[in-house]
Amino acid sequence: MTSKDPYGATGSGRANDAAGRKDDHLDDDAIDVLFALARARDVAPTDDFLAAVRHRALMMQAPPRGRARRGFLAFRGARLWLSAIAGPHRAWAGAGVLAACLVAGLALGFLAPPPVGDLPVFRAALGSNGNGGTVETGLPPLDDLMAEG
Amino acid sequence: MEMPPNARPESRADGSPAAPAPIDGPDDDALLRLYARGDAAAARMLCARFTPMVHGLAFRLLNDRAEAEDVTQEAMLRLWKIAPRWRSGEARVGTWLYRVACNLCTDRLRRRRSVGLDEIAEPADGRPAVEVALQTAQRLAALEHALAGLPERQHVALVLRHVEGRSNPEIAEILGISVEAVESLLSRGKRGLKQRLAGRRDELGVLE
Repeated sequence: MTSKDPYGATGSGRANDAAGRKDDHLDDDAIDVLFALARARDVAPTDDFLAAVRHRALMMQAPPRGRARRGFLAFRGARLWLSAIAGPHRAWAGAGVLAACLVAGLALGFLAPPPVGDLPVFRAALGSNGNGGTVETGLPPLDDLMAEG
Repeated sequence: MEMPPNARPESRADGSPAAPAPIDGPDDDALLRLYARGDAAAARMLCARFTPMVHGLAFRLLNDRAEAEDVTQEAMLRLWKIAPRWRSGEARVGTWLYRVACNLCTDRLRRRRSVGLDEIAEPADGRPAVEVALQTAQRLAALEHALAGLPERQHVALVLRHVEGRSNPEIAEILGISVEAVESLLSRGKRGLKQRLAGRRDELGVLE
């Protein structure tokens, strides 16, 4: 508040007293005029800046390409699944993943080649049945053939 | 004191400024959904709708065009990032952006305060020394200086209410506080502003 005492020793009357209080605070009208000035001030962005923001928005929207796109899709799929797991359809999401794993496992089991030694053609060539014995090819042993020959 | 010739004419019954009218077209949520699906037209429309709004608020709070542009870029970037996960109905896009911009501006105002208000130069008026223009610039500088001396929350609340024309419930939503707390902030802020400006009466031309 004012340092001037309205009833102090200066002997000033009511007008001076009012002026003293006026010196201490602006009235609401004066503040409103200042705010009106602030409102009227030009705060619009420049066209260049608007174009830069727009460009950035479009860049953020553009989908990635190639390997980045595959990674992006995998990420989105994983995120979709996580949100499904957390949501009301978690049972379907879980069952879907189990089914996908089962299908993947079966496909790998059918498509992956067995160990090389297990193939009949190699067993014949190697002369082994895989149990340490001789493969029954219907031919006499090689040593007998050599002796006869 | 005379009103500036280009002052916004529209105002509410109590004399406070009206909030800016929304731009016609699809609602904000729909636009954001379209943006997330890759619609370029939605991106352009969102930019046109919100960039000037965020920039205006940041400029008025920070009083620096470069800083206002930084804040605007950051706020809009956050909007683009959140677009695919936006939940309609939880918050309005404009209010959410205002909140982000206010927080970014408050951070910058706090950093400024730590370096000292006296180190911040007052804006210079580069226009011709026409008396009215000069006085307008002085008044604006005085207002900005007085606002900068207030606590950040009061500063932001006053600008949102008296310059941006936002309602008290909107300000409460933007600042994440109750309407009563907003009213208290506004009341204390206005009182502080009056005290700070009282010493610059001559500069403001109030006595003329």
